[in-house]
Parts: sequence; structure tokens; C-alpha cells
Amino acid sequence: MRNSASAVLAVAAVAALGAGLLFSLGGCVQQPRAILPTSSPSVAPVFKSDADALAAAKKTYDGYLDISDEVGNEEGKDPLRIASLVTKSWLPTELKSYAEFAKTGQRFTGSTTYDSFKLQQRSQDSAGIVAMSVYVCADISKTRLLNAAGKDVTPASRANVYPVVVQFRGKSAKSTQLLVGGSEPWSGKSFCA
Amino acid sequence: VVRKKFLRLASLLTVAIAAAALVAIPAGNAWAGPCPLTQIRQGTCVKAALRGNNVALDAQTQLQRPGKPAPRAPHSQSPRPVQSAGSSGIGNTDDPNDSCNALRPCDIHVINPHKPGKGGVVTIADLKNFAPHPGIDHMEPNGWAVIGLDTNFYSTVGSELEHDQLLGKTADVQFTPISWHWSYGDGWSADLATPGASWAATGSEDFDPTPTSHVYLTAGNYTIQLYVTFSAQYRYAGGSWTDVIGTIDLSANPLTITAGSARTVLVNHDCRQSPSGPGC
Repeated sequence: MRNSASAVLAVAAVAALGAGLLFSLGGCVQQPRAILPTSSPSVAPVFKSDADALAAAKKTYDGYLDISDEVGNEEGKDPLRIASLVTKSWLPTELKSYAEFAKTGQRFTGSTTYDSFKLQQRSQDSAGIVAMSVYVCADISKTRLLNAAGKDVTPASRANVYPVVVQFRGKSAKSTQLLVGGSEPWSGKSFCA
Repeated sequence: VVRKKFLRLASLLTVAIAAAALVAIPAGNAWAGPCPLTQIRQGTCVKAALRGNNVALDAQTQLQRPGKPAPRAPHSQSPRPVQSAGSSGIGNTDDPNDSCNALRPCDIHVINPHKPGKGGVVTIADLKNFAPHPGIDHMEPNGWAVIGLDTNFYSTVGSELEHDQLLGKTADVQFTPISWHWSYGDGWSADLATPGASWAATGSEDFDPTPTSHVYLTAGNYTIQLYVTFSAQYRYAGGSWTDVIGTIDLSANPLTITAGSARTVLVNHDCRQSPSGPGC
């Protein structure tokens, strides 16, 4: 009986410790931080390190920027060429943005670059599909918006560098090829220079 | 054995809590809403979030802060510098409709002054809140109900398009009512996907049942409360519409009703003219 009581106390103490951990971690979210990868013990990690995962994400993002620039420079024509680099769930958002852009008769010139590419979090599910979020400083200062007559109509209020969080997802189980799965603007203190 | 089981349970609980802690860490304070590169390049990428009953839209941009003028060579005829988007746009924009800049800020707060007084890049942000209106709810008959017969409730609220200026561009938020939660005050409530309509509008007779009617079974005074749920979409600078994640619940005007029984009697004259007449 005494053993049972002490064991119950032990459970309560550990639970309280865990709750404290939860509270303390949940309260510290002001600065971008990387979250340790969580891997299922039944599936070997797809990437051996954060560096490997980031390299794969960069490769995908470089291709994504190239094609996105191409489509934008060609007035939004043939937007499906981006399909091989984005997830099925993100593709409609991309196509919609190109379709809205094509309606305006405008086009872009120049190319988009980025000057920061930092891991926010990385994980993989029990099937071995990788999910990643990366902080990116998208630099659009070299791109201009032209109307149908070729006049520069780039909004003066447009920023040069946008902090965004880009999501990546493995193309298939245990695949090291990543696809762009989303992109959201960052609202906190900018992590871009 | 019991102790071992408890210790095992404790270990599992610790792992579970630690895992929950990792999951519970927000991925930062990124706002809801996608932002494809096309929108970023067009300058139509804004952030949207629900804050209470408001949809908050947030835009940021960068401007060149004025510094000490560079010495100019005498008789130099240097061409006007090419405007770089957002980097040298003080009072000098490519878009004649863009009335918002560092000299004429429109409700802007500077969030990242860099080298104040010595020039450099200034990041400015503008935030605007939008809120829907819950509309008005009605009942038929107005203020009273007959026990055992239908009382018709309906709401006059529709989609609402709101506009405001955000960094000199038009920001639009569209609110759409999607569900109506009625609390009838007698312990009954209903979640409905329609606002309902008056008996006359639907071609019904008085006391006919409708998709939004309710029958009171007990005499008494009741207060009826309606909560309308809205979804929202936003767009900026004429860009594409984007869904705001989440919904807004708003309380409409409360109604009070007296429910009682009714019977039909034959009277000699109108009871208002002859209150003490037969049947009155």
C-alpha cells in the first residue's frame, strides 16, 4: 500500500514536471527557433542531419523560384510547369495567384533571390514522409512589375525583402526530394537583415 | 509489481507531455494566410488574423529614411536616380494613387527604425481591423407566441464587404454569415444554416412551420438570443481573395416574448370598443 502511494506521488511529480516543461516552452516563442527533429523509431531518418535536409529544401526552392519567375515574366502563362515542385494541396493556391495575375495583363521582370534560409522545424511521420518549415528572406528588389504597355507599375509601398515561412514536404515516403507545401508571411520581429 | 507499473506509466506520461510540449510550441507568430511569390512581387502580400471579433490585416514595407545629403559635384548633371521599389520612395512613388509614404504616413507605426537621423532603411507597418455586423433578428408574431403553434424567427443579415486603406492601398474584407445559433430561452436551441424569412416573404400563412420556427410548450416570458457565425475573406490592392482561418461569432439583438394559450370566442362587438361585452 505504501509502495502504491509513493508510486502515485512519483507519477504526480513527473506529471507536474512535464506540465512545467510544457508551460515554460510554450511561453518562449518570441524568437525564431529550431525544433529538434522527431523521428519514429520504426523508420530510419530520411535525412542524416539538418544540413542535409536544408540542402534538399534549398534545391527545391531554387527550382521553385526559377519557374515562378519564368511564369511571372511570361504573364502567368502555362502555370502548371510549377506542379512538379509543389504539393498537390499547395498547387491550387499557386495556380489561383497566377490566374489572378494573368487577368491583369501584367508581367514581371527580373528574378527573385533570398538571403537567408534557416530551419524552423523538421520532422518525419511514421511512413517516413519529411515535413519541414524554413525561415526565408525573399528578396524581390530585382523584380519589377510592368503593365501591358510595358510601363513600370511596381507599387512604391512594396517591400524589398519579405520574411516568410516556407513549408516543405517529402515527395513520397522516405524520399529526399522535397516539395514546396506552403508559404506564409511572418508577422513577428523580422528575422531578415 | 504495482510500483513498476506506476513507474512505467510515469515514464510514458513524461514522454507524452514532452512530446505535447514540442507540438504545443507555435511555429512562431506567423499569421494565417498563404502568400505565393506572385502576391509578394505584386506587393499584395498582407497578413490576416482573427483578433476577437475582428479581422486584422497587417502590411509592412520599407522606406529609405532621409539622411545627410551627399555632397554634389559642381555643375554635375547626374541623371535622376532610378527608383527602387520601396527603397527610395519618400514622397516620390511610381504609383500616383499611392498617397501613403514616409512624409504622409497613414496611421503607420515605425517598427524597425535603423540609424535614426542618419538615413537608412525604415520598416513601417500599418494595421487595420475589420468587423462584421450581426444584423437584426425578428419574430412573428412580434413579442408574443401561442403555445403549441409555430413562432417564426428570422435574421436579416447578409454578406458584407468592408474597405479601408492600408499603406495607401485598398484592403477589402468580405464577411459571409454561414450559420445561425438560436437559443429560445425555454431550454431549446437550434443551429441552422439559413437565416430564415418572414411568413409573407415565403408565401406562408401565419403560424405555419418554417425552417426557423419554434414551438413553445409552456406559458411564460422568454428571452431569445441569436449568435451569427461569419467566415471572412480578404484581399489587398486588388489581389486575389484569401480565406481567413477561423470564424467569428457575433451576438445579435436579444428578443423577449410572452407565450400563452389562445382560444376563439364569439363576441358581439370589437373588445376594444366594448371591453365588458359578451366574450370579452
